[in-house]
Amino acid sequence: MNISDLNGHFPILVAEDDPIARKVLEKTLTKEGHEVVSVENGRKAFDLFKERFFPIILTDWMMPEMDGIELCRAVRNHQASGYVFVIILTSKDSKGDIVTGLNSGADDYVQKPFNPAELKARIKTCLRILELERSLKEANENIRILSITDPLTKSYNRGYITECLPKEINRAIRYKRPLSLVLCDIDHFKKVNDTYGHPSGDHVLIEFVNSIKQSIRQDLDWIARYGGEEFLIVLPETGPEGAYILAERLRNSISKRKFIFQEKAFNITCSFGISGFDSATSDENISSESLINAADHYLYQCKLEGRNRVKAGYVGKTQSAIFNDKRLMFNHQ
Amino acid sequence: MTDVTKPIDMEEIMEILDDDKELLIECFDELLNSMPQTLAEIQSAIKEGNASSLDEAAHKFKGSLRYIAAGTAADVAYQLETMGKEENLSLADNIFSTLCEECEKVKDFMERYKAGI
Repeated sequence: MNISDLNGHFPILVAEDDPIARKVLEKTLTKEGHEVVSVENGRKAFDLFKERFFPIILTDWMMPEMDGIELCRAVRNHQASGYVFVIILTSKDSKGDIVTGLNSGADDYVQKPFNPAELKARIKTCLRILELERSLKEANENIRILSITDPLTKSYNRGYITECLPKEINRAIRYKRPLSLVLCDIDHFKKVNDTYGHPSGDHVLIEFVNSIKQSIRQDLDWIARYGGEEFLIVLPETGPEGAYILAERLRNSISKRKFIFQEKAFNITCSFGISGFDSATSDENISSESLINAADHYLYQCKLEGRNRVKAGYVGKTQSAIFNDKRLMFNHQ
Repeated sequence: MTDVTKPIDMEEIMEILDDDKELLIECFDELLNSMPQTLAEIQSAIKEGNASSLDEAAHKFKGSLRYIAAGTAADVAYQLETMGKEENLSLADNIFSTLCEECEKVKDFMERYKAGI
């Protein structure tokens, strides 16, 4: 869990060995609408913090087992998933503690016994800072997504293929799982642009990708724009036969669909080249390049044989084995 | 302004507790329950000549007393805390007696308040 997962909800961890102080803190903060979890020493606080992320920690100074300073240092040294705002509770008689506390990593302090209005105000300050961190992380995530997304179709882009396809392949081979790639291309796409205009062409590309996204598994399969009108569909846990069935279904539905843009209606067809391997493969020489080249080879075969078709084959086998393999699905019109 | 004639400054405590009477009673109950044990720990630390334990126990007790605005008792607890920190327990017995007297006043005040007197 991280700060982004908290959705603006910032639970508070209180470490305070004095039961009265603990009770007062719990009540004061709960009345303000905060979720509060309190423990009686620094050790318990840190053990709990390791299991669950708390963006706000209020800690007393002197406590058994682990005091506030040690807790503060431990929290700062721990690889937390977000920023932790630490407030040290100090007694009126220990002014020197404030500097030590801040130097050990605390962000603020409150003197005990605290004034409720002051505590609430300091918590609000802390929330502003945490909210700033959350919005910065969100902005960073949006930038990251933009960097891997094709702006027109909202599919992934070539950069994402370069980054993620090798990982998918390595994982499949390591754990002996099937994997397939489908390289699909819209037939005569240039004609669509020339006849109906580039905005129509853009519309076709967007709708084409949306059609595919609706047919693939949301959290497993993914589609990326490989070229102008060429897309790569990555299907983990799927061998070439399963990929063929999916591609044939897509080919059929797209060929029957009417695309309408600015009152103009037209049809398109697509060709699909598939390469992949099953869970029995032990060929560790399979790479992104070899898989894509194989899929491209089958796509090219589709184009040669008249387009609007699907062709598939296994990688990791000899050429003769591929064409002689009874499991191979032949192209279908 | 702190009322030094009463063992607990009600104006101060209601400010600390944000006028929460229910919380006030909970705090009084907590202190009434824990006070005998805490005093026993302090006494034991003094008898054993354990300065570190005295510092720790007196510091914690001082904190509780400050939260319920028992200023005079808290100040006495602070004296014992200081003795523990400085490892000088020569007058600790006398100060402990004073602490017990002040705690008796605090205890009486809390019980009378709860009884509505």
